[in-house]
Amino acid sequence: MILFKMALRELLSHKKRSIVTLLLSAFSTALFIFANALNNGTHNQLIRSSVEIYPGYMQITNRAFEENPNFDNLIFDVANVTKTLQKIHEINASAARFESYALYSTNEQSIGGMFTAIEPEKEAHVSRLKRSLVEGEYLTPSDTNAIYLGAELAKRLKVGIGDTLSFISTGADYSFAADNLVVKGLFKTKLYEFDNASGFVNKGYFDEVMHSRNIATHIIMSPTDLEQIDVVTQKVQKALGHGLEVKNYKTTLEDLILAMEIDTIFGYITLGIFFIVIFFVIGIFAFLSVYARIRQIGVLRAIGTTPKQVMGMLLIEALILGFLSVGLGGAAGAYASHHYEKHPIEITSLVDVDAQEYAKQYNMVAEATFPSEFNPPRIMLDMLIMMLLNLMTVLYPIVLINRFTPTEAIRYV
Amino acid sequence: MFSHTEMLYVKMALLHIVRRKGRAALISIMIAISMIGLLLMEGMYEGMMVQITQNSIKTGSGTVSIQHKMFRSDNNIKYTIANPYKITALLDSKKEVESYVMRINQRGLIATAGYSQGVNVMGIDLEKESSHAKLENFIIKGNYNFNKNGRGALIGYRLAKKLKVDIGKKVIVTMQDTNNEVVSVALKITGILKTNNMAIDSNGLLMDIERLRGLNGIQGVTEISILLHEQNDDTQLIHSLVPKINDQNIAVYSYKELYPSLHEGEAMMQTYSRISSSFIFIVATLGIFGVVLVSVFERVREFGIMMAIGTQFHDIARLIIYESLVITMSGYIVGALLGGGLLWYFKEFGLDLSGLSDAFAIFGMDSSIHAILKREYFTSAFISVLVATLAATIIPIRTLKQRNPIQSISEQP
Amino acid sequence: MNFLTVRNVKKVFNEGSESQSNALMGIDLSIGKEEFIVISGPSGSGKSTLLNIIGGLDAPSEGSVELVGTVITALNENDLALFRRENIGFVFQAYNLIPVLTVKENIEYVMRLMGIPQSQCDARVLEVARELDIDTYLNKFPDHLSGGQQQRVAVARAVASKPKLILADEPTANLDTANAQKLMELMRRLNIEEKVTIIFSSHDPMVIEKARRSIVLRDGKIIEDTVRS
Ligand SMILES: Nc1ncnc2c1ncn2[C@@H]1O[C@H](COP(=O)(O)OP(=O)(O)OP(=O)(O)O)[C@@H](O)[C@H]1O
Ligand SMILES: [Mg+2]
Repeated sequence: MILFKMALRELLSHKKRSIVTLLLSAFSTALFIFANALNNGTHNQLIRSSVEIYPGYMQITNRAFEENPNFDNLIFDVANVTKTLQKIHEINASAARFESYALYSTNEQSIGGMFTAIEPEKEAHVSRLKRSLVEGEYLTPSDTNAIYLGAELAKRLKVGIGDTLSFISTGADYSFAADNLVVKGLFKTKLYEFDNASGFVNKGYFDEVMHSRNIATHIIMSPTDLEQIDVVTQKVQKALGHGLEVKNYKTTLEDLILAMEIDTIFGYITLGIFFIVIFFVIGIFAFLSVYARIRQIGVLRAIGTTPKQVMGMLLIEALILGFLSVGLGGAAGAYASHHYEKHPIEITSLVDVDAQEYAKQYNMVAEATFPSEFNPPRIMLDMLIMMLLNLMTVLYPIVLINRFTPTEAIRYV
Repeated sequence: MFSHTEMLYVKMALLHIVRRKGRAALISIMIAISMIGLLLMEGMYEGMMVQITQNSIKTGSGTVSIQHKMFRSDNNIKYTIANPYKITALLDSKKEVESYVMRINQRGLIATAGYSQGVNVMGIDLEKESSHAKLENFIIKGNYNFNKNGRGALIGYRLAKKLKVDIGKKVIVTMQDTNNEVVSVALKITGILKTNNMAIDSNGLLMDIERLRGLNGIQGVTEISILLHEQNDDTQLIHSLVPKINDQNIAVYSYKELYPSLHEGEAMMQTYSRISSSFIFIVATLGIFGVVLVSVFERVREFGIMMAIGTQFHDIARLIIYESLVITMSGYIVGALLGGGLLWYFKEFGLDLSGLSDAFAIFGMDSSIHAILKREYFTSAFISVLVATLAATIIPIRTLKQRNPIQSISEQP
Repeated sequence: MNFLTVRNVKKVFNEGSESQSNALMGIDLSIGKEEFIVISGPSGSGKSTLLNIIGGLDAPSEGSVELVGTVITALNENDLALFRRENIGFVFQAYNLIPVLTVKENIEYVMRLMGIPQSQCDARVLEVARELDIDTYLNKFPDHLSGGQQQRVAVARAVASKPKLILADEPTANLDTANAQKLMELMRRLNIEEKVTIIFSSHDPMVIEKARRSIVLRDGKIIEDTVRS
């Protein structure tokens, strides 16, 4: 108790030094928490949109499809799989797709692109395809010769709503298929390459032309609880048997997730350099404050204070400063994380254009907003790390002070 | 040279530092470490940026690119440079130009047995590309040729992976000719490329330019890609070329226009490292300030005695400044040597991150990062340390003057 | 059994180097309970060194010190600190007090370390402070006191925890004659009333004559040991 009092008075008698230390450490804490929150929030958003725009959280394919993506390796009994999926309550929704390629032609242009059949209503529950509509209308289950076309592809084909184009493709039975389609709706996602190369038609219609009834290349699912996705993936795999393969976004978007991790690492490197300097300065201040007290500490030792108690006193000083600054910085960081979760940082229009250009070039989702993530356990962990860093700054002073015997310390000039 | 008294002050400064080596060491180490950190950050980040830019420039449109002015917004092969030799004759006379090549770029559809997707078809001349972009260095599998019959093709490694094709496998490439007729050709894969230019790696197919002409009927070329000896001569070259070409339909672009994201990225990196270093600068100044303040105040009596026996105040100020400079500059020298050494090593041998190479490729980087080493890193760091040191001594010296050291002699110790 | 026995204590500083100095060259001493002893001698004769070794602040190069049945020269750093806390009070020449603690807190510091309840501390502080005539400054901080006052607080701190031995290295060196006299009288009174053994060092003849037993050192040896009546 008396040691605590001494520690506190010591800090109060050097107000300026204590305040500078406190502010530096509080600032680092806030910066650390917010940088992490922003990093996680932005990455989560990027992954979420990358997943939800089209690929979906979970998918089923024929096990041989990845090796050999041809029409011999399809899901040949969609109805049965759907029935099984309906019994698994961890699966929120599912939709079948038939992905193929076609050459789209107008009088002027012929352009190759993805030609995919979807179940319009079900699809709306597993991806943002419906929400990405920018002109015209989305597909319905009763549509026949209607196509839902990527806005960039439409631009290249020079077609608008109501215009006609034709396609040539290969049916599920390897027969030749061709028909005319009327542009019903245009969509625009944040993924340029996707908008530039995709068209969608109602699967009911597609199955007629392509002979693909009850057949699909993929079945896309969304889980009820994202946190449990790996468990659910295994469960579905077990229910469906070995012939089909179930994967989730962590596998299908592996590259993207790795890229996010690298981005995180680079962030940490910069933060690391900041922290080395900041904590060096805090450490130097701690060192100076102990240094000025060597004689005093010699007296304390002479009259019976044990080295452990001296160490305890210095640790208490660091703890008081640590608690205050980490508390302050933690509150500021948490507030910022919370605020920018609700109101993401928006990058001004100028940079926005370039960011989109950048995303276009690297085929990544272009986001103009950067939300943070308010994650209390994570914030607590960050605060704990900063607390430990704070305590570490008195290590050297403690080593230094323990090198002196009481007489040496008292005689010290 | 230093005068005799000057030498004496330097000697005194050194002795004082030796007496208080702990804190001097802390400051030096802090400066050395933050310098190493900043140097590495600057050099490595700039190295990465240059790498990304170079990968795109070399295998893509070059430092300067000449195209039909419509081609950029509408990749239609009717927008060609009909008479490229008139332009290349001009280029031959420009000494800034290192090399140039002519290419035909066209979008098409690539298909294997059961899978097809969009592709950038590039018609190139192997020999000329070899002395231009040294494309053969990017081959990771197979050979740098199009077979004797010219029916070979090089494709990007990501595209190869997606299509599940390997050396010797056949692909069918479909595109439009100048009469809007759909034409196809079967090509055998002779080589797989990894350029870290996404346009090629995940979407590119390179074939013989003459063979492509025979197929699509193009007379001229779609692009002349130019590399310069000095990247920054781009604007100068463009200004001198445009009037001489004297053709409304021909546009001359700098890579800065074609890849705004790269340019933007460079600018962002620069701002980023400038903000980081000024922040570190401020924090480090605080640390130096603390140490100078303490070492001045514990010697007020000593300074008083020096003044009593005839030393002028400005000499004392000089002593304090020398002392601080010796400490910080030794940190600078250690930091410059170690940081510079590390950077030199990473410049010569690169930082190997092949484990992460796929994710790096998403950003357009190679698996090994080569640092950049510039003299200005060291001069700007030197100036920063100098300014920080001087700034940190101002307040202690002023306070010392106000304290009136001579009076303090009579005070109790 | 003696209260304090010093057997053949030698102290060599910087052994083997050029600056080697033989501060103590074989000291044998035997001191009884409740003695009031002064150690004097010229500068550099080894007074401080001897006091430090007796108090366990420094280890002898040779020989042993036994205090109230404990051979303190055999204790480790931590046990020494605890032993000092229980048995020895110190008064130094200067820089004695802890600047961040009030006078009262300075005096009760050792008792607090010993875990003595606050009410008992308070009572004892008041008792000692009255005795030493410093009870009016109890809530001040040391830097607001004069040198003589500070030194009395230091004595109060040394005596408060009822140690068996008080060691004071030139306690009067920084004081004027009047204050020095006053301090010596107080120490003498404490010696009798509190039944505490006191050993102090001094150059000052006026101070030296207050002691009952006088030990004189020269070049690290005892050259005189007299008891006055
Ligand atoms: N830490 C030390 N390192 C080296 N030599 C020391 C040390 N302490 C004391 N000495 C030497 O030991 C001898 C005795 O010193 P000591 O301080 O005990 O003398 P003193 O009698 O207390 O002198 P004074 O009256 O000046 O205080 C001296 O020669 C001194 O130089
Ligand atoms: Mg002495």
